[in-house]
Amino acid sequence: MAFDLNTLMPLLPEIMVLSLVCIVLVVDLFLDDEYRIVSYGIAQAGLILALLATIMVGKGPDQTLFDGNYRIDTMATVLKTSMLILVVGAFVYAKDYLRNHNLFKGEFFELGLFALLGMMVMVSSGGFLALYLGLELLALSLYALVAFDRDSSKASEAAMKYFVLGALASGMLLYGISMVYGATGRIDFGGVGEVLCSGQFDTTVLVFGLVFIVIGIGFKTGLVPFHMWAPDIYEGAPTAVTLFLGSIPKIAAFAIAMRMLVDGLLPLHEHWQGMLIILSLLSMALGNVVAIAQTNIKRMLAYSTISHVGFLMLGILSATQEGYAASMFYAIVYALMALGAFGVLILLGRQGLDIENLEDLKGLSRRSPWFAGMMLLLMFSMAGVPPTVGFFAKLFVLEAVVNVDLIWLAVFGVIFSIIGVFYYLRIVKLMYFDAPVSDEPLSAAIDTKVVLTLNALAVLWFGLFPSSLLSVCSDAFAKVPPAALACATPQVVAANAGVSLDSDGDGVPDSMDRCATTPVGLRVGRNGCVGDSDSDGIADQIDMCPGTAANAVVDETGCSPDIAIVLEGVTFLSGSASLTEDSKRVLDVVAASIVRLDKQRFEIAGHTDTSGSAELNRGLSQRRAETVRLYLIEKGVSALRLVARGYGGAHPVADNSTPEGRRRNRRVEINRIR
Amino acid sequence: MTFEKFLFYFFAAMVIFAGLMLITRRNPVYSALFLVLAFFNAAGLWMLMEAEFLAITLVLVYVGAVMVLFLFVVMMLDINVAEMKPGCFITYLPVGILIALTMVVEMVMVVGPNHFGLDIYASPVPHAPGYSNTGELGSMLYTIYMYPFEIAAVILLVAIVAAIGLTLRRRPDTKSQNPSKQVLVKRDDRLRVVKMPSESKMELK
Amino acid sequence: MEAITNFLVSFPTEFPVLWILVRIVVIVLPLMLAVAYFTYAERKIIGYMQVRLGPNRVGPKGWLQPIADAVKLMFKEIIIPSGANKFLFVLAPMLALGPALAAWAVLPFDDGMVLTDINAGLLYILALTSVAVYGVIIAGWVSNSKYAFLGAIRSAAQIVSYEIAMGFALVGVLVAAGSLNLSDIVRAQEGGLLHWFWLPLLPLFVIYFISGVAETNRAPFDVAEGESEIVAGFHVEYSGMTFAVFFLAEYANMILISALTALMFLGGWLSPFQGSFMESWFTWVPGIIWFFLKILIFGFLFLWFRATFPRYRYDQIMRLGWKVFIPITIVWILVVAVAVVYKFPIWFD
Repeated sequence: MAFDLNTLMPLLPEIMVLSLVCIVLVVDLFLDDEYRIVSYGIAQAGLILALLATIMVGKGPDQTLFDGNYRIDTMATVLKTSMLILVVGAFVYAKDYLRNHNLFKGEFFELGLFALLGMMVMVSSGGFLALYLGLELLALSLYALVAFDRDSSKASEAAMKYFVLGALASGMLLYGISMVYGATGRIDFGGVGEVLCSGQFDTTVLVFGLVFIVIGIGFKTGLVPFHMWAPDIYEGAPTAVTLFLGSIPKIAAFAIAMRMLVDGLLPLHEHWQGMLIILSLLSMALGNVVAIAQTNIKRMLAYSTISHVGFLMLGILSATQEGYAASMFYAIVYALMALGAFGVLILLGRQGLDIENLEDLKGLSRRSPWFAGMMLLLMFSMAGVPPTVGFFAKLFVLEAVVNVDLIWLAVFGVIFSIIGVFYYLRIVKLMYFDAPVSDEPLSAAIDTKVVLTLNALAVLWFGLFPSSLLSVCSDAFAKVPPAALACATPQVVAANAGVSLDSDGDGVPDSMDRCATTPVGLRVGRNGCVGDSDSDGIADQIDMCPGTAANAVVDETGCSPDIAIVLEGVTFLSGSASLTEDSKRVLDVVAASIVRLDKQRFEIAGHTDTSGSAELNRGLSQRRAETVRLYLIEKGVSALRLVARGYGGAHPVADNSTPEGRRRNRRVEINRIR
Repeated sequence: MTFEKFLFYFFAAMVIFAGLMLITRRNPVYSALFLVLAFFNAAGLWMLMEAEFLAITLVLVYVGAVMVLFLFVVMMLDINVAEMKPGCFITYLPVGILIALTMVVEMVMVVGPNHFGLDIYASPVPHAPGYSNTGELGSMLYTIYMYPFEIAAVILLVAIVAAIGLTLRRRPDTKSQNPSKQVLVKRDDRLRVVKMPSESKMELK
Repeated sequence: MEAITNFLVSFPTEFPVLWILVRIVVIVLPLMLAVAYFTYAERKIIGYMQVRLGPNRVGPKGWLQPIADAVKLMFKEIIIPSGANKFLFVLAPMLALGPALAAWAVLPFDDGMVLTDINAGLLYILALTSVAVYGVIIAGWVSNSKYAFLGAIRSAAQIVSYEIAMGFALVGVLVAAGSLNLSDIVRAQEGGLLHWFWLPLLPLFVIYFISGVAETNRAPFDVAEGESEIVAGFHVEYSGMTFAVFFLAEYANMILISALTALMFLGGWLSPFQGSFMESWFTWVPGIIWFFLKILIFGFLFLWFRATFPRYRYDQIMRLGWKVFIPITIVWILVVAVAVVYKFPIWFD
């Protein structure tokens, strides 16, 4: 069967990351301990390549591929790009830590890359199934990473807790998904959305499923009251792992919420909005208040994460384009800040020693004024002090909430973030106004220092120029309708947003498109039109009957609806079942046409003339029909939609006594199965 | 009641019975064996739904492999059954029952006949005799669900890497043989033929 | 007379359940008899190999020896160890024998001569052989005895390990035949000795049979019983009929493995002379005879192995299974897949 490599192109980043893991896996097997750095080098180089691939692939059009399982759009590209960059940073920080703790093994990078792959799958999932599998891929890698220091009982305990609660959360999510599937009969987001818009569904079942989905999201992202695992795991895991799981997966968390709630269940917006309001309110409150009481800095950052995720959800629950963009901005920025903050902890650590308690940060300004300054920037940003980027992140989500008239929620958000400022500033106080416990200079490698500096300065840069990132985020959601218009036609949405829209998606804006309703996916000329030689309104590229009489009534195949479609020009060598080249050209059009007629089933009927035995003729016609069927399948028509049947000479359309009649009787028909 | 209906209720009742026994046994080996029983009956239920591939695979994979390994570990655990206190179970029982009851009520309300009844989802038509569930599953898995299928494969790879990474320890003190070395041993590695001057002939007296 | 004929003709449709029962009996009774005389054959053959006479006292040339054994075992007392769960103790031998018998339901003896012709026959076989291990595990555990437990643990690990290689070998057969139905698998091998799957799937054939020997805990893989180290392994506490059932299960499993190997690699009921000039000479031989002859070959191999090879050491068994068999099967599945896709003559065109 022919296989078109082009369909795989959008997946190039994922394929590269997967190949990268396999390469690291094999190379690492043959390395001695002192050359372990090679695995690290390969991983980093591969990540850079995958980053380039992501950017390259991201320039293509938005597409849904693999029967609705894979979706590539601006959001996916932007999130993947940022995740890849952050993973490079995370590996740089982790390298020092792992060396200091005798954990420098290839498995760390392999599992990290697997986790990244899982997140990439989630980010560009087009259906619940792919999303769930991506989530499991991420989760399994993280469980193993948490237990990575297998001699540490604390880490094992944390991994166990994470595993049990993670499995519970997965179960919840899966149960919810199964309910949605039961109520709608579809598993891809597009399909679920269609059914929801058609109004033909059972609200009770759907909302029941929705509750479980939201609980699942809550568990996985660490929203109160499903947050109990977070502090223990942050504390128990090796800092290098905490760094990884505390930063980058938050981007993926945003993506799963977006994909499931917005891509899939947007028409249920009024239901999930309420749930998210409760969750985010509780998260902001509990996260910020309990963080004050922490003396362990990793636990403190865990509670800080909880509150930040609460803020992040504000944008999504507002269900407007600016809300989504604000949340996306928040997710990326938070991952950047968290990475930096944990990076500083690693920077301060030494051989076999972890920075765990707030006291360890005392007097950092005297040991290293530069990195104290960097930490200051990061803490200001987490607290939301201008001009760092954290301020804008909070500002944008609060703005989004205010715009949908949830002012009280915004007020609470502001109050809790002010409470939160206390514990971030306490760190600043410890660094600048307390006497250091030790005078030892920082021993970290130069690359860690450089990356950490860049990381902290990025926080400042995006704070000074927030629009550089925000505009990217806004672009990602330009086409996503607001919740109220979830089921409206694209024209209404466009009119509402005041954007000139390309309603038929052919790449020619409506203002210049003379044929504004070309079917999706056809190649069009500059005026937005396609060739239609028989003027039946069906483009030649998908017209099964290119020669219908002008003004004849045709259906979406381009043929008259009442009579059987005889595939003119599909001929076979006499007595054989192999297709001639001309026939293939005709069949290409037919395949294109059938692919577009989603869900219709067709019978391919082979007919022969009556010369020769009836038995032979039936066999021949069957084989010919099979050949046509296989060719169509090869061209992308789902095998389930085609049936081949040979009738032999039983149904002549012309007189079998003349050569002309026999020629007309040797034919292949395509009939719709109703 | 038709025979099929009877079978359904029989298998369903057995699954529930086995599940209940599973969580109430003190001895983990019995629990594991009841789980096996539950799997068998679940396989029966699937068989009723003409999903013979899934049913057989459930037995093959879960009963034949997973539970064997599970039993393997559980049997080797030295658990003194008498010492296991029922304390925890009793303490948390009320809460557990409360949650379970809530769930059951909710599920009956939502998943019950009101929303999934025969008037909404018509009972499936039996397939023709030539129908092969295995073939159908295969053609779905390798076409429409190819992408998720591949990801599932990657998940298994992660499981392998994680399991080996977390448990493999190279212990320098263990003595083990290297069969390939043993096989490749040549005579020259083990045996040295030394030429010695033969003793001088003694004079026979 | 006519009434009797009528009754016989209408019997299958009038009493479907009874008809199935009759057919089961027709399969199981000869099978049990075969098992009995298989034990006799074993003792005789190994006896001759070791230059002894073997059993020769009961009946002419010792032919009644298996019957005598059966009667003896039937009248022996069944001792249930103290502290053992009676139910499980008695259940274990049945769990061992049940799958070995149930598997025969899908085995075709001749074209169309099969109890149930199900689509997923191969899967069914795989599932049943994997369930057989429970008899051994439960017996070992419930006996409350160290030797029995050691035997059970050894056996469980061994069976699970070799099942993987076995399963992969079957995947190869499945790829080559393109069907899970055992009759279709045999039909795919039409065309004489050289068209049977033993040739294109030679590595899988060898691995399947060796794994089969390991699955049945037979020498040289009989560490689960290991008379010289752990007395008799998992069934050390079993006596009388319960022991006899274990015994039956072991031999029934051997015959089953022989039959499966014959079906999947030696063309089942097909004549080896198909397609050659000798084909017409042997057309009078019914397919079932060819099938039985092929079973005999493998049955003999089982006994020959036992008489020839010393017992494997446990770690060697594991190494062979995991590090030799599984990689080879995986590679060969790939080879077979390529051969099938490119319609490699003479087997896959």
